[in-house]
Amino acid sequence: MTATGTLTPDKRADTEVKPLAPKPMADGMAPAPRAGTHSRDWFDHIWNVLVSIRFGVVLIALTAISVFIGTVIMQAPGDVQASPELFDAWLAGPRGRYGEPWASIFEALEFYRVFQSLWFRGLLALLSLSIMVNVASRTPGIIAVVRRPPVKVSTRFFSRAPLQIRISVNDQPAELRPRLSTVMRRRGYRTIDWNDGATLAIYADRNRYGKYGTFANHLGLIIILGAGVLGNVTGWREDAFMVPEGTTRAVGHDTGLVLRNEAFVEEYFPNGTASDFRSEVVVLKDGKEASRGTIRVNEPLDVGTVRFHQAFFGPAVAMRVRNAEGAIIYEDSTALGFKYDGDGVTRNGGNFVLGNRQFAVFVLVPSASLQAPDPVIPAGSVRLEIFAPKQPRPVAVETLAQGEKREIVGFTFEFVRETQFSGLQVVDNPVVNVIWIGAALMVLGSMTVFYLPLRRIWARIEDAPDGGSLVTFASAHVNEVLFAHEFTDLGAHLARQVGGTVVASVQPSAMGDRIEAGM
Amino acid sequence: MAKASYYTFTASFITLGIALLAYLWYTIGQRRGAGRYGTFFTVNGALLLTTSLGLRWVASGHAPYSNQFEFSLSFAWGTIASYLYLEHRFRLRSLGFIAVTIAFGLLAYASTLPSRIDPLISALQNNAMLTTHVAMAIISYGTFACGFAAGVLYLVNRNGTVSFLPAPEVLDEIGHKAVMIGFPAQALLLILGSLWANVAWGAYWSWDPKETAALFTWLIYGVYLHARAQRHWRGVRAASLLIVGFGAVMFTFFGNYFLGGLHTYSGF
Ligand code: HEM
Repeated sequence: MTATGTLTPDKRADTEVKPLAPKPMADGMAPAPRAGTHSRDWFDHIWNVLVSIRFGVVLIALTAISVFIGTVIMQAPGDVQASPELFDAWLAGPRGRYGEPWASIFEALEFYRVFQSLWFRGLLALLSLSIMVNVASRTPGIIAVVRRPPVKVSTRFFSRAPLQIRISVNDQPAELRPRLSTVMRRRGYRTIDWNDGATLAIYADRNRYGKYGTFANHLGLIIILGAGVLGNVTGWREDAFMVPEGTTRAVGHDTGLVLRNEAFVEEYFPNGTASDFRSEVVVLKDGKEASRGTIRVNEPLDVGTVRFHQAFFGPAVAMRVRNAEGAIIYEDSTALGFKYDGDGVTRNGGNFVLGNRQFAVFVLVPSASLQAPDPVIPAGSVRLEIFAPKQPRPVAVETLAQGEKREIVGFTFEFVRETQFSGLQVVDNPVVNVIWIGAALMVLGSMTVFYLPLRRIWARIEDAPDGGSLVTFASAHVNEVLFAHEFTDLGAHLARQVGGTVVASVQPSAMGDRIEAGM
Repeated sequence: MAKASYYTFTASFITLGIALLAYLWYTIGQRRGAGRYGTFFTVNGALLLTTSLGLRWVASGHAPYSNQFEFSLSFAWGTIASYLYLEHRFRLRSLGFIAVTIAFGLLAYASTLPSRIDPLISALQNNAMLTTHVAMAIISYGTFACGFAAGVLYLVNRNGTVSFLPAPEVLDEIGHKAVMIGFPAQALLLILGSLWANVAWGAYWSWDPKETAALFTWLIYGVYLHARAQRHWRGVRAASLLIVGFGAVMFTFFGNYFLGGLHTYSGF
């Protein structure tokens, strides 16, 4: 500490304020365990662990480590996790990469699906519980800090506080006190008058409500975690809702929604990468038009809580099938949204069902990305593989050119034309907006705590021996270089406003650069 | 315009090199006068970099975030801007040589990358949400870089015996202040990212490696904030967390090289 003038802070100075008023419970402190029955002891014990910020730190650190593991170790994609066979096949990858015994250890610990694992969910649940219990236990203390400020401090505090400024003013204390209060209020402080024995004094603080930000902050976190769980339970998603151009498909999931793809458009940059693709769609609810619009990658269409996203696209074929009497029994388009390998090439395929599940028809076209022509299916043609129920091999395989009609298994198949399908993602997450509310609370709450810190200043206004007043401002915010600057500036400002002069000050020596200070 | 952007980038690179020498001379060489030159060249380096980024923005029609070159420049800019803010607030220059080294290193790295302006793939096309998303990345990574500088100096001067460095309490406070800016900014980064993903991909959170890497970084600073709330965690342990946290930032930043996932296009 350096001191100018006559003030010398006590070397043993307490850095804590010792208010004369009953001391409010300190932040983050657990209530003392009560004596009681055995189970009561147990409860208290668990409670004490849960409320402790040390346990909170351990939980946040464990979450961080888990997230790290899930980042650096290969994670099985969702569809792979859903099927044990796919997962077994997928495991070959990590086995080759990590080798034994690591691959098996990782598998046993569910490191390939960290974020879906029970232990990770349990950790998040424990984290939420810890936050709730901790905040609950801090609530009375925080309310007390805001509502019952330590207005009165001991006389000694004014000579021991780590931050002190003394100014001398010509006015008498009784006149000066309201003037000082006014200036401080203009600086954002609220003031409370009090008397230290016969001496007039002021208590001033600012941003006391900022303390409540911690409720918004942690409540926001709980809301995000809770809404995440709720969204998984109440929502659904369809990642590959494929609707060929000019056709209508039911959304399902008891929504009563039907989507009609009126047109699909794709555009390219000169270098061949896709610049834009979009679908013009109409959504019907129970037969009536509910919405109409264009869906692009960044422009989904909302119908109630259901959201339609443009995700991908691909080839489709329009087919017409007549029965032996010449009546049309099928007239629709099939999205060829799957890739199949055969005859050494890749093909796009899809399927439809004829009649009352009499036949399943697989439709295949050469993939657009082929370098060499398909050896079996000429470009612009489709191959039909027709399966009868319970038969492993197709009962007929035929290749049709566009516009061609052919009789197969007693029906007339017509390949009308090639079109495109629009691959949509359909998501219903009724609580997603709750997440944004939680997020806003969390960020605004933490910013409130950080940028509106509680500040407290006490002033003691004594009669000066030679007339006028001597005012000592004292504050106890330690390890706060920036507040020390602010405090100094405030002292100088107050002196100027009431026509006084700074006669002494105490500040931590640690401010600024020591090279600048000439060391 | 793209050419002019590259020239101003080069000029800024050189200017910051000079600033770096001045700060080194100031802190390590303990030459008081050199500090003002450090500040002068850093401010000018920052102005040149701002110009370079601005020109690029105009030339490409979108905020500078479409590839690793642009993002390195932005990251360097964020580091310098945060540093200058802290230098001004705390009235000290001792952090300068570390902060400017980081910015300088980022520009050196950028100079090895292709600087061409690519058309944006449709998922990234101009979008106010994405622009603010990246702005938050710049603020948080920049302030965390300064927190790292404070943490390193803290460890060097933990007993307060290195007379030419700021007192350990001051370094501790600078680190904390940096995190107080960076932590909410990174929360916003994650939130804006998920708002945008919710629009673009129909899922606000996919546990994509780039997302989880950023979440990991954020959680480390969460550990820092809570650990520091306990008195005995201030000091060496808090400073070490500032260093680990910045390690996580670098891991996320260079994650394109070894993490797959939905964000890979933003790198190459
Ligand atoms: C990932 C989870 C968490 C995040 C992101 C988080 C965030 C924050 C932030 C930003 C602050 C500083 C602003 C404020 O005071 O509100 C803070 C303070 C605090 N948090 Fe958390 N928190 C988390 C979990 C927890 C847990 C599990 C506990 C308790 C066991 C806890 C207890 C506290 C306490 C006691 C403070 C005040 C510290 C002080 O006095 O400086 N937090 N938290």
